[in-house]
Amino acid sequence: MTDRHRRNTRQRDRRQSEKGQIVPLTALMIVPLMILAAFAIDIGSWYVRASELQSAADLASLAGAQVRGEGGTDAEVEAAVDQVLAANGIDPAGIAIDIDLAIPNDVTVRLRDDDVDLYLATLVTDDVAIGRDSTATYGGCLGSCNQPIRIDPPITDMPSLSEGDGFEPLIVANNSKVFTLNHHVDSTARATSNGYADLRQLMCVDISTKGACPGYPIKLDTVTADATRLVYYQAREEVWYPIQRPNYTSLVPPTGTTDWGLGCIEIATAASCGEVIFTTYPTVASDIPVWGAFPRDFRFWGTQPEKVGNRVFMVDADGIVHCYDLASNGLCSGYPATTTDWTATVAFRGVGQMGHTNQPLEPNALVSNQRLFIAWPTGVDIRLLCWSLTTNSACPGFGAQVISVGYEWSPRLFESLNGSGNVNGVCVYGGPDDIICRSLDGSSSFTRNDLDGGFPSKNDVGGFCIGGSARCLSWPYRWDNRLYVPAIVGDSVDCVDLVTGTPCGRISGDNTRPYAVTRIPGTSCLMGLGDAGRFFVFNRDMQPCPSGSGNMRLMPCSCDDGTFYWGLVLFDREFLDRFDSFVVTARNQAGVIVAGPIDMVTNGGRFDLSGLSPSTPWVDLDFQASIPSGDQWINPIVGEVTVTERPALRN
Amino acid sequence: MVEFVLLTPLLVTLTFATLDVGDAWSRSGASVDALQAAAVTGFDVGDVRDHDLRVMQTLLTEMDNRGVQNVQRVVFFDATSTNTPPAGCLTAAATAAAGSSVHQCVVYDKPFLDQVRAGTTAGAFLEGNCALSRDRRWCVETRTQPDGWMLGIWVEARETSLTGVIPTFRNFTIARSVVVKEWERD
Repeated sequence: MTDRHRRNTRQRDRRQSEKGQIVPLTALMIVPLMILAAFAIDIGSWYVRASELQSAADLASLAGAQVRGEGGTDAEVEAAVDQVLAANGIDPAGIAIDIDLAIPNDVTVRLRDDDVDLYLATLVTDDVAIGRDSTATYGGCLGSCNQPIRIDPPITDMPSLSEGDGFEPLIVANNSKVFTLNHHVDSTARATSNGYADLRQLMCVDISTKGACPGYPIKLDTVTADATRLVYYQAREEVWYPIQRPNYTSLVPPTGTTDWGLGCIEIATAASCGEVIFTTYPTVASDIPVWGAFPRDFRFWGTQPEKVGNRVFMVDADGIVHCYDLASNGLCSGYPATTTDWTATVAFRGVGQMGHTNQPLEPNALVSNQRLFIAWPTGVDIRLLCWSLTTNSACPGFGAQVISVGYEWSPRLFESLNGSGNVNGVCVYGGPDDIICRSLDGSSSFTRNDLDGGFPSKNDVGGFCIGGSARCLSWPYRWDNRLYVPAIVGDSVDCVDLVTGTPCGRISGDNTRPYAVTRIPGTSCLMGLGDAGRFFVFNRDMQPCPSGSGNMRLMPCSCDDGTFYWGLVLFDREFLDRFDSFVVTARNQAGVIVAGPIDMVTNGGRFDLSGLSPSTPWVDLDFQASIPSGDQWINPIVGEVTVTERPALRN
Repeated sequence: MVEFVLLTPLLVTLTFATLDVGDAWSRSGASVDALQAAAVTGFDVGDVRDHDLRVMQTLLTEMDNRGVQNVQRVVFFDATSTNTPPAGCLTAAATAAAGSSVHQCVVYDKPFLDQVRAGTTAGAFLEGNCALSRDRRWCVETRTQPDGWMLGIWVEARETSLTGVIPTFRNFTIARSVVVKEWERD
C-alpha cells in the first residue's frame, strides 16, 4: 500500500465517520424542533380556541344576566345565553354547555370543548379538552340616572389688586367673578367727620378678563374687621357685607355711636340693595383703643357672618346672636337671641378687651353639625360658646368653656376629624400653646398637637399684625380631610391631614402673604387672597392649579325600592367633543382612587364603578381638561354624566 | 460537514417559520380577546349615540396593547341571522360608502380609525341626526329593539410576520368577529 493510497483511505474513513455523526445529530435536533413547532402551532391554536370560548361565555353570561335582571324566567335566561353562544359559533353538538342559575343575580356559563383541533400534537395525543367559564352578575335594578356636569373656564393668572388687604375671596356667578373686601382706602374727609380713616371697598374681578367688573370697586360707607367675609345670595345675585360704621361726633375722645349689621350690593348693577343694622352701640371712649391718629374700634364688635342655607348668623359684642333671612329679607323668627349661659359669665366688652390697648380682640365663628361655635377672646382667656341652629338656643350643657392657647385675642376655629374622617369636635388655636379641642357637645376636651407638623409656626398664624410681635391673623379652611392654614407673616399656606395628622404640602415664599383661602366651586383648586389684594390659585395637593381642572361629586342612583347602586359612568359625547383631552380620576370618600386617571376622550368616555359598595355615599371626580388649540374657553362647558347599572363580569 | 451545512438553513428556516406561525396564532387570539373587550363595551353602553366610537376606542386600545396595531377596517353589522358580515359590507364600494344601508352595516376604514386613535372625531356622531353622522348607513337609532338586538363586530388587521422567512407569509390578514346582544341604556 502506497502512502497516497493510505492517505486516501484515512480521508474516506474520516468522511464515513462524519457521515455517521450528522444523522443522529439531525435526529436529535429534529425532535426539539418538532416539539417547538407543536408548541407554536397547537398551543397557538389552543390559545385561540380558549379565547373564543371565553369570549362566547362572557357575552352569553352578560346577556343572561341582563334578562335575569329584567325579571326573565330561567327559560328566558337560558334562551338568551343559547342565542349568544350560537351567534358566536358555539355548537352544542360539539361543546358541552352548562348554564348555572343557582346563585341569585348571577348567571354562570361553562363551556367545554372535548374535540379541540390538533395538528402536530396528534403525534403525542389525541385527547385535548379546553374548558372556560364566566359569571355575570347584577346588584340593583339595572336602571340609570343622569347628573349634570360643568367645567368652568380655567382660573389662572389672577391679578394683584395692588391696594388694600383682602380676606376670604368670594367666587360667584358660575365662577365668573370674584369679590373681596379691601381696606386701606384712605378717606380723610370721612375720618375727619365720622372718625374712621379706612373705608372698606368692595372689589370685583372678572375672572375671564382679569379686570375690574363694570361699576367696581365700590366704596362702602363702613369699616369692618380685617378678618371677615362676604356672603353670596345666589337667588338674587347679591353680595352681602358686614357693616361697622362709626358715627363719631368727636374724635378725641371718641363720642357718638357705631352701627353694626349687614349691607347688600346687587352684583349686576353694583348698586346698594339695602342694609340691616342689628345694633347701634353707644361709643364709650374706654372701649376704643386709639391707634395712631384715630380711634380704631373696628375689629372687635362681633363675629364674621356665617351663612347656613338662606340664614346669616352674626354674634355681636354683647353676646347676642343675630340672624337674617336672605330669602325673606327680614330677621329670622326668634332672633335676636342670647343666653345667660354666656352673658352671666363672659366679659364680652370692657375690661378684658381694654386690657389690650392696641391689641384688638377678634372673635371667630364656625358652623359645624348645625351648631354655631364662637371663640370669644376676653384678653385673658378664650371662651368657646355653642349655639344650636336647630333649636335656636344655646347648646344644652355646653356653657362657656374656658380655653387658653397662649395669645388670647385672635383665636381661630376649625373642625377636628377622628380616624374615620367624622367630625369629632372643634379646635381652637392662635397662640404658641396647645391646639385645644372640645367635642361637639362640650363634654370632653382633647388636644390636636399631632397636627403641629402640618401647621406653620403657630406664631405666624395667630394674633394680630402689630408692632414687632409680627403675628398676623388668617383663617384655616377645611376641605374634606384636609385643613389649609394660611400664614401672613410666614407667607405660606400649609396643608395638614386632619385624620392622620400628616402634612400634605406647603406653598410659601411667593409674597402673597395670605389671609384666607377658599375652594373654587366645581374645581379641584383653591383660591387665596393676601396682602395688597394678591390673588393666588393652587390645587388640593398644593401644586399649581392646572388649567382646565374641575371637580364634581358623583352620587349613586337609587332603585324604586330605595336601594342605591353604582354602575358604569358615561360622559355624553357632545360634552366630550369640546375637549381634546378630559382626564378623570375618581376617589371615594376616603380619598382612595377607585378609577383612573383615564382620558375619557380617547378611552370610550366611560369608566366602571360597578365594583363599589352601594353604601359608598359618593365619589369625587377630579377632571383635567384641555380644549383644542385655537378654541376659546370663555363659558362653562356643561353636559351630563350617566350612571348606568348593568350586569358585569365577575373577575 | 457538508450535510450539516446543507441542513442548517433548513433547520433555521423551520425554526423561524415556527416562530412566525406561533406569532400569527398569538395575534389571532389577541384579536379575539380585544374583540371580547370591545363587545363588553358595546354591551355596557348599549344605544348611546356614540356607541361605535366607544367600542372602537376599546378595540383599538386592546389591539394595541396586544401587539396588533395594523387594523384596517372595523365593521358593525346586524348579526340577527349571521355571525359574519354580509359580503356586501366588505366590498371596496361599501368601505368607500362607510357601510351599506341595504346590508345593515357600518364600515370604519383606516383613516377614520386613525382619527379614533387621535381623539379627533368630534362631531362624527350627532345626537338626533343620523343622516349626517359617520354611522349613517346603519346608525344606532335604527338598530335598537325593545328586547335587545344582536350586533356583530368584525375587525380586519393586516399584519407583518416576525421574521418573514416564508415568502408567502410575510404579510397576513387577521379577520375575526364577535357577536354581542345589546340592550337600550340611554
